[in-house]
Amino acid sequence: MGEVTTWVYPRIALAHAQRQVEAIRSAYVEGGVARVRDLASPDHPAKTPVETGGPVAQPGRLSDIRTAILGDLASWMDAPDPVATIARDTARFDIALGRSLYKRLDIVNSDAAHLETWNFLALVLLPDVTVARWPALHPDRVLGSPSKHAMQRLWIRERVLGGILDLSSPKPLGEDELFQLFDRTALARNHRLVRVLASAVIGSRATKRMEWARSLYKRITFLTGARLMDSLTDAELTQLVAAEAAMVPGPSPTPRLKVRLSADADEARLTEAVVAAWNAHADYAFVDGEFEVDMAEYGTAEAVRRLSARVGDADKHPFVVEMRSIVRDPVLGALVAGQ
Amino acid sequence: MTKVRVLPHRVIDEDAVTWGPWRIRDGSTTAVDPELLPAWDYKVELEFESSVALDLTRTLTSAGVDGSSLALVIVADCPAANVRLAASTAIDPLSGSAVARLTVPAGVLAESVRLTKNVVLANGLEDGAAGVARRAGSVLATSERSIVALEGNGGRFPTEAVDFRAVGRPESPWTIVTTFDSIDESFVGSVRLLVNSEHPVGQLTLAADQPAGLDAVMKADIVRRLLLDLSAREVDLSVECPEESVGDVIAGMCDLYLGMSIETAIKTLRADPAQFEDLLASSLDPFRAVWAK
Repeated sequence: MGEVTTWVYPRIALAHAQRQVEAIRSAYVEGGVARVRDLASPDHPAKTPVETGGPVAQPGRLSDIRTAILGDLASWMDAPDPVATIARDTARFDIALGRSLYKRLDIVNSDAAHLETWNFLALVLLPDVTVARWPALHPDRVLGSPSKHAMQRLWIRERVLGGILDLSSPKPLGEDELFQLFDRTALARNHRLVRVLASAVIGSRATKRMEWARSLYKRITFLTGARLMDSLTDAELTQLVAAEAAMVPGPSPTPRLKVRLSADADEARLTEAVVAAWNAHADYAFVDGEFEVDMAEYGTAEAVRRLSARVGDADKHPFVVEMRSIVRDPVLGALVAGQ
Repeated sequence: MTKVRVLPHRVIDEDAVTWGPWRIRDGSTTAVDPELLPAWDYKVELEFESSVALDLTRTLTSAGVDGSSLALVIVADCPAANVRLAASTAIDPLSGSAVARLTVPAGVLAESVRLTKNVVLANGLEDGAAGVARRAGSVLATSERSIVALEGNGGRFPTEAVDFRAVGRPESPWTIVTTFDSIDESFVGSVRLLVNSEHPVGQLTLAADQPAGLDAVMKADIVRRLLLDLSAREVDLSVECPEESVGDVIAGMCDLYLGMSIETAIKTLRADPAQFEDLLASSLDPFRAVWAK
């Protein structure tokens, strides 16, 4: 608990927040994210002071924060269509937004516990970011509980997991894996346990990792009645989670796309280069140069698109692509035959 | 008093455990078993302290463990701030007693904190008799939970005063707004009583000295509105509801004011609304204080 945070923020009450949601909805229908951007403000006539002290961020600082957050999110928010750009990359966007909020707000944790604070941040200061991620503006996401709120949930995840949420990870923790973890609220309040669990999931090689993670969370939750996890050391928690993880049933086989490198003289160098490229998309990269894309997760069409992108590089990087299980899939089989 | 729990191992007899009071230090003052810390704010560090005394002979006979591997763990749980902190100290194997202290830095907690004291097995045991706890952290005794309010409504209904006309609402004295999807969500986080700050009756509800009967009228209306809300949404009532969740709080209201379960209350409201109103009126009797002496 070595966090030293500084600022508290203005709040707006639920009734005003609901009215703000309606204004955002109308603006979005009229002119998309660009029109909602016009509603963004560092101030609100109905903002209320914080009752229990601390330096309150004033409009000048709030404007600076907005600029900084939009800068952190530029690769999504400056795209011609932010909504579509984010929709293709939600896991990384969420990590980036959580990280940015945590760093830029420097908010007192006690203040961040209040929904009214997030009403102001999500609906007054950063309405364009909120609507770009959740264009339907479902109440759960803009007025809802901490584990679902568009911004509060990401701030909490960043606070608890920090560097475990790795933007460069080939397969960062997905929304369901994180939601299932943090929605188990009693379990999630033990931050050390959450970190151990998240690390276990990231390190898992389970094919259906999301289902595997759910099973692991359930097993640990089941144990929390008889054992007070808060009293265990980090090493004991790691040992406990590893033991339970080993007992989670294995996944059923799923169709996978496999690419095998040729065994030429440059294989080592080539493997390294292609591993780096594929790590951005593939869920596993084996040392022998065989790569897999999980079709169950990405869907056939997206898996083919990603494979095609790599095949397209074949002129530049002379490796042979060997497709095996593909031909058993009617969609992929037709594509391969055409090629 | 020790909370009764069903556990997969033997526990310590309630009578063999004596829990000490909570001593909470905020800055320069120490309060004993407080329900509210009025001077607390985000800049105040808190120190929680409590103790336990075990009858070691009865601990051995009831739980099957001696005093050499036991710890007192005090837990400060804060759902609002999504954090739970704990401090552990070994129980003296000769006297069976221990004192634990937990320091919570400023700016970590919010709204209220739930405090519990636990006796646990400090270290895992190689082997033991059937039914005897062997794993580190096994809970052998847990105290009653204490809730200490830190800020906000202090356990009262979550309320917001707002000018209804300014936010485009019909100009009633008050209304209930809910944002939950499931009844296992936090009540405080998803239910608000909005009071119209520009309505004369709304202003009376916010005043320090309310007129007689107004509190009962509001309570009856809140119960009615919450159940109507649940009924209209057709939410799943079978989900397990943690303490202080929407389901838990409304079930408590149904039990207190209607003497029935939440499911029966909704069925009554749907099938026989007149009967529902009669039950509510006889329980809360909102108009007696207004018109009868």
